[in-house]
Amino acid sequence: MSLQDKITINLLPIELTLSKRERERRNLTNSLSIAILVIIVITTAIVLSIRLSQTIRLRTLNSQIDGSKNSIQNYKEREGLLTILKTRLDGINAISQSDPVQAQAFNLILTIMPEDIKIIEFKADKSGIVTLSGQTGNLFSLKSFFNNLMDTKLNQGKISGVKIDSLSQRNENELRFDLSMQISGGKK
Amino acid sequence: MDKLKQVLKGLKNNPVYDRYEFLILPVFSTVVCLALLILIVIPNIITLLETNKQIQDLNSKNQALTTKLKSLEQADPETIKKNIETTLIALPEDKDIPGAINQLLFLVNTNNLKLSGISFSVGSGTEALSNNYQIKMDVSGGLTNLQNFVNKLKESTRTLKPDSIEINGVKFTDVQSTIAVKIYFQPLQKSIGDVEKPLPVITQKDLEPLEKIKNSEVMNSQISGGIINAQKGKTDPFQ
Repeated sequence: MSLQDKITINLLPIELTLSKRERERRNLTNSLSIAILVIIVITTAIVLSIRLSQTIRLRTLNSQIDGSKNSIQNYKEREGLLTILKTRLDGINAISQSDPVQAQAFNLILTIMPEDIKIIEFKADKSGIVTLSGQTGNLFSLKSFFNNLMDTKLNQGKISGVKIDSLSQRNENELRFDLSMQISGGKK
Repeated sequence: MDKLKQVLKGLKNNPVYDRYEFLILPVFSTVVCLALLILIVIPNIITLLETNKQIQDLNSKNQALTTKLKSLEQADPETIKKNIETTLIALPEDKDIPGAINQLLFLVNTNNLKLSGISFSVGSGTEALSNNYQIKMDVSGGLTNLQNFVNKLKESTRTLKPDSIEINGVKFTDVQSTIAVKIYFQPLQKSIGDVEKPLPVITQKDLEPLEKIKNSEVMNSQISGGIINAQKGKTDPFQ
């Protein structure tokens, strides 16, 4: 027969048991209070130490930045030269970036115009509007020229619109025309 | 010391103290915890986040300044000066009208065109980071020569662009033409930036026009012909 199987009788007074329980409860409360206090104190210490390290880092960074600024001041002339060079290069590149629309129009007309058409008047401005007057004695050349103006392969898609303002026959076999066209890429 | 002992003894005998003694430590702990949280932990956590952002900003600023310093140390001032001199040929700091006319006359002559008139007009303000003015020329010659002239304009060492092209009539094989050319110039800038501004990055692509200018046939011809060294006279007849 084991000891646990024996019948035990508590002869201690009930007040004593209650007092023991109360003491245990108070001890638990006190232990919890101390534990929480310790945790909060540790947290506070950690937060303050991080703050301290941040302050040190800030000071280091500021002194490094000041040092770099002072060193850069020694190269002020070099920086100025580089800035001037960059601005001028940007200016040159911005101007020479695109082929001027006037030159494009002029080259295009001379490329697609048959040789026996004579230019009487040609105007091309920066807006891309080209006015052209010409004359020819060959109707087929004129027809070919008009076709070339409309052919997107030949005009490389640069002509966005053509308007024939006038077409007349002066002498026998002498045709005169006035037309205007819009070259794409012009500035208004 | 004896007095303190007497006070403590008196307290222990006090029934109120005896009744609430168990509350002293938890209440003290709660008050201290709350005080630490409210007065130290929470405000510092908020500041920590802000300071962290500040550190990140300063870090990137420091990095940018270090990079800038390294680039400045590596940059060769002689090369930069030479490149600026070349850009000044293409885009002078003043109007340099005699220089522009020399350039245009050179192109007119090399393309076998005849110049019958020349006029100036004040430019249309600032365009593409530069100022400009216009030189209008009345030229005559073969149509192919005129086409070559127009095409050679963009290869010129001086930065210029045809502004308008007009062909007014054909006499025999010659065409009478009026070509307005826009000549660009860019005054030297007065402010050269701030220490904290990043250094301008000059890529190989940016330097391409300089190579073109250096290798330009026109420029070589000008140098050999002594046009650059020629007496320029008044650089701006408008003033």
